[in-house]
Amino acid sequence: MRILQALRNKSIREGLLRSLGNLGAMVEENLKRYPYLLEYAEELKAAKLEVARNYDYWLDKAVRRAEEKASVYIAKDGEEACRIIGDIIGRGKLIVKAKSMVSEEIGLRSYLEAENEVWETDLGELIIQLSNQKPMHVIAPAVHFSEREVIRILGKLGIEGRNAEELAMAVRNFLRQKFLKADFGISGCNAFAVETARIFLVENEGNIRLTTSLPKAYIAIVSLEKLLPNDELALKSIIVQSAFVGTFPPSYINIPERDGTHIVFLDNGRSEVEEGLEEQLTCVKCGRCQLECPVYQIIGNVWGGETYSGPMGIGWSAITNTLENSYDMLFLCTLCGKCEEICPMKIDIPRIIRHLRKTLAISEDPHEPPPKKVKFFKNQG
Amino acid sequence: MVSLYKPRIIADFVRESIKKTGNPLGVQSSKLTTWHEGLKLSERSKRLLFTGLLYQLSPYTVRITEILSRFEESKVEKLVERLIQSKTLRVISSLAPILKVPKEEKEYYNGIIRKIAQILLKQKVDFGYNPGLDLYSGILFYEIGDEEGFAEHASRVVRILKEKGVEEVITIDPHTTYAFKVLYPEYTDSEIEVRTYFELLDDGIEYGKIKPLSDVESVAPVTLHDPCYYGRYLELSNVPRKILTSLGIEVIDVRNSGKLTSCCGGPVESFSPNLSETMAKYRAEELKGKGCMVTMCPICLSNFKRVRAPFIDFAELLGGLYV
Repeated sequence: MRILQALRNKSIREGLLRSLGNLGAMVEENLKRYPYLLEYAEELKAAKLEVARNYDYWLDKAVRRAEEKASVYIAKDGEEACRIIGDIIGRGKLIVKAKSMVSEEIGLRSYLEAENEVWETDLGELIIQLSNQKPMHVIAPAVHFSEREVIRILGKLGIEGRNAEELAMAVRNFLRQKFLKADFGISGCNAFAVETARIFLVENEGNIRLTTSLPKAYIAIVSLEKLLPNDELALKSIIVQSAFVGTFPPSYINIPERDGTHIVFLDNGRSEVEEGLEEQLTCVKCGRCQLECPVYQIIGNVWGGETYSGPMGIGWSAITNTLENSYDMLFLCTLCGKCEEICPMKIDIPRIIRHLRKTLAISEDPHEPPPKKVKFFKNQG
Repeated sequence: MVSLYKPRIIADFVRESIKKTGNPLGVQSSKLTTWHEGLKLSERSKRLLFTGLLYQLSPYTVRITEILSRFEESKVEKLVERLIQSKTLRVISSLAPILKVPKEEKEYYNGIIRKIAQILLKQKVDFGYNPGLDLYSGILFYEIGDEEGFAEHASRVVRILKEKGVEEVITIDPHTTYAFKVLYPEYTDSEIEVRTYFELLDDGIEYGKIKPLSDVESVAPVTLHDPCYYGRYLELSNVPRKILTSLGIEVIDVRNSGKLTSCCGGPVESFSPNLSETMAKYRAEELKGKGCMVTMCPICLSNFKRVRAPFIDFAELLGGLYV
């Protein structure tokens, strides 16, 4: 979509502001009532940076612990992850998915859809699946659709309802059948405790609980930045994430432990992040920066990469090599700094964007990502 | 494919203009330093008013942005880009007749700087002005990611000021202020003291020089649009509020003010002028109805004026009150 087209599309702004209106005040209220959240966030940032400095060590440890209770795989990039998961699943299977940005990042759904039946079970993500778009927001992917559009989109499945409540109920009935028959459930991971090899997942709809428990087998995709040393930090991580989304305490915290579990650890650029981008790895993907950014509030995910958009999306897209049209994209940021101000991890996003402006300006082709990645974090003790 | 004026072309233009004329638009520098005529300010003072040229450049920015805005995503967008790339356009002053920057616009922005100087004089602040030493800070180099270019430019500015014995500058806009307060010490060996004009006025309150207005009831409440560099990066938003409150003027704030202030859209004006305008419109809507809308940055001010939002500069407000 072009910028002027996005400027005319008022539903982007209406949707994002509606979300900000619903959630923003709750975030502020959470922080006022539970001041320890800020301490958690600070502690978490330090821990995430520390782990990022030694991904080799922590991944090795995570694999060894996880192997005690699950089948474990390591994927260097998205393509390999898709292949691994495709091999586990085979063909002609019924798959239910929890909403997961990492699975968007590697294009897993369309990869599996070629030979299987795949259903997104988060309502917003299901709408994204049916409309063939990319998520507008990391937590609220379909926030830019009006009720009327949702009625039309869900109508494709024969799902009917006159309003949001009726539609949600009808979708629930529709998906329940899928859950019961599903061969595989797939989820991402909000935090992974290395010491115990526990997957932590946080949600409000309950679909992740069903996705991870009902199907015959379960596959979790764990990207490296989700690794944390122990249960305590993993729990703090999902608490911080949900508090800064606004939904705190969250309705569901899932720690799925079951037979038939497959864990796929995904790197996809994370262990070789170039100097200057390392802070992005501490992001908990709460999406607060997307809601608060004055540019994003207007043009939404037109500003960003293939999967990740908005302030946090620039750094993530650079790390995962999915920043289309990269040099130009960087200049839709005004460097106003609001994102850093409201970020739970206090990530200096304007610095990341200036850094990319610098590195991409000197690369031969401005539309290509920087040619060489410097192994910044490796073996620094 | 995202559409916007190619940043590489704009960045090259800015870089070359600064190298050739000392300012990012390529306007003849002597045209930008006439505002002080008649004020009889000393050229030799160790403490200089340092405008950084941004207020004076605003009428040119507005005119250029209007042109860019008209052709954004049109059939001639590429042609406009090629024009920006062509050598003939590098010195905008040669294009003055085409740009048609209205004289009253230039006088308006010059008038704001005069007001600031007059307020400082009235407060008995000791300062001078030397048009030859009033330079662009180079902050755009930094913002477009050209840190080397910035360090080089900044070092030149610092060297020139030092050679003339300048010890302190009084800044009037947030971009120049941020450059001097935060970036110069980091990128150069600058030891030049820097204060914004309103911090000096704040000192005036401390010394009891600024008195509450006798007739405060006639002054409407004010709502402040904090520029991002002042509100967030430099955390100076309490200072103008303190000044207004001490004068007896009520300040009505929205949630998005101070450290949470919302950008006016100015910094993207040359890449996507229409996005920039939309941002300004929404920001103005947010502040509307709260009181007299006031800002203190030439980029914010001109961007708001471009969408006909009735903002005035902080200096206009103060100047109207007690000069």
